[in-house]
Amino acid sequence: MQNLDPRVKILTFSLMAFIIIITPQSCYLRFAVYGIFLMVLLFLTRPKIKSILLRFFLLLPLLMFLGLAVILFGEEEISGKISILWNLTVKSVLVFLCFAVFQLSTPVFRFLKALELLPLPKVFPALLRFAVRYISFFFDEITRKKRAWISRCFARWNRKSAVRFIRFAMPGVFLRAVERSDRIYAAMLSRGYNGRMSTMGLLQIGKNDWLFLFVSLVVFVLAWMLL
Amino acid sequence: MMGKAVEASHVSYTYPDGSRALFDITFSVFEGESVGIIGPNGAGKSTLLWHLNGILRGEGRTKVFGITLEKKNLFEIRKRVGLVFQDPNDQLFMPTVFDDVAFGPLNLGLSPDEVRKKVETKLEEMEICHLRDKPTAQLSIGEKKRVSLASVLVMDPKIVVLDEPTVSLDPCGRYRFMELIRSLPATKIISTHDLDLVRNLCSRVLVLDRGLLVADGPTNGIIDNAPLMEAHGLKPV
Repeated sequence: MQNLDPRVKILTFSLMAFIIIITPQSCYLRFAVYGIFLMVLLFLTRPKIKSILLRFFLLLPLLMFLGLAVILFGEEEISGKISILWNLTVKSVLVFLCFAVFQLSTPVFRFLKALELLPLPKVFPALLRFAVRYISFFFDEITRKKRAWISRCFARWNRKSAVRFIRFAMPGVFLRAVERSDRIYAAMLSRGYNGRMSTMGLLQIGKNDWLFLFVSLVVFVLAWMLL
Repeated sequence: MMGKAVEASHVSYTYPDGSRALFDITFSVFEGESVGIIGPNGAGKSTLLWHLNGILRGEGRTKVFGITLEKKNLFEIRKRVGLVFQDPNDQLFMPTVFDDVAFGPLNLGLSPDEVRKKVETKLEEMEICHLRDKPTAQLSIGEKKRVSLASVLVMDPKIVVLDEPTVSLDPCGRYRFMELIRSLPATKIISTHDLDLVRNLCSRVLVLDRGLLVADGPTNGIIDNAPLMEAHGLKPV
C-alpha cells in the first residue's frame, strides 16, 4: 500500500467515500462488503493498533455530538431516529476507514506532492505545505522548551506541571516559532523563492496503481449492483 | 586584476525595534577572494551577511558584481550570491533532501530534466547520494550542514556566504567541512568564531564590533594582533 502512487489513492479513496455516502442506509450487505474490503486494505498497511484506536477516538466525540443532536432535536419517531443514527454511524465509520487507510499508507510529503501534481489551484497545496512545515517546527520548539523545563524542574512531570508549562512557556514557543518562520522565509528568498512553490514531479503511476484502482472500484461497483 | 565581487558603501542598519546593528560599513571583496568576518557575539556579522543578498536592506549601497542591490535586481543578485545559514534547520524546509536541493534550481526556471541532472550531480559531489530520499528532519547535524551547503551550491553561485559553517560539528565533521569549503572555486565570505578556520581558509579578515568595522586586513596580521583581538572580545584577556 505504501508504494502506491498517492494520486491514485486520493482518487480511489475519494470515489469509495462518495459511493459510501450515496449508498442508501438500508443496504446492510453493501456496507458489510465495503467494511470488509476496507479492513483488508487496513490490514495491508500493517498499522499499529494504537494508531488506529487513537484516530477512531477522534471520531467518537463527533459521532456522539451528532447522535445527541438527532435524539434531542430530531422530529422523527424513535425508529426514524435510529435509522438516522445508523446511517450516520455506519457511513462515518466507513469513510473514516477510507481516510485511515490512506493516511496510514501515505507519508505526508508524498500526499503534498500528489496534491501539487493534481489539477488543483496551486495555492491550496502551497498553503498545506507551509502549514505542515510550521506545525512540525512548532512541535519541535515545544519539545525543546519542555526538555529545558524538565531539566530545571525538581518535581515529577504530571498534569499540574503540564498546565504550568502551557501557561508560562507557550507564549515563548509562539514567539520563537514566529522568529524561526522569518528565518525560514529568508532562506527561501535567498534561493529565489518568488511566491510560487515549484517542485519536481517525481511520482510515477505504474501497473500496481491501476490494478489497485481497478480492484477497488470493481468491489464497490459490484457490491452496489448485486447487493 | 580581479574585479570587485562585492562593494558595500556606508551600509547602516537599524532593526524595527530601534536597535542599531550596523554603522557606516564600507568594504570590498574581490573575485576569488576568501574573506573572513569575525567579531564578538552581537557585533552585527549575520546582519551584514543578510545585506549581501538583499534579505535586509538598510541605508547605504551594496553592489554585487557591479549590480546595485535594489528591489528590481534581487533575482539577479540572489542568483549570484548563495547564503548558507548558521542553523541548517532554518535552511532545510522541504520534505526530502532531493526536494530541498532542487528548490533553488526550480526557482531559477530550469526544466525538470536539467534540475534532476544538477541535483544528482551535486549530491554525488557532496557524497550525500545515500540521503537523497530521506526526510530532512531526520538528518544528523553534520548531514544537515552538507545538505544545506548542497542546496546553495547547486545554484552555482559566484559568491558563497557562510554563516558559522562549522558550529555544532564534531572535529572530523569540522575538518571535512573545512576541506569542502576550501575546494569551492567561488568567492567566499565566511562569518565565524572559529579563528582556526579563518587562518586556514581566509586570506583577509574583517573585524566587526558593535556594528562597526574596526579592522580590515590580512588574516595573520589581524589574528596575531593580540591588543586588537583583546580589545574586541576575540581573545581572552
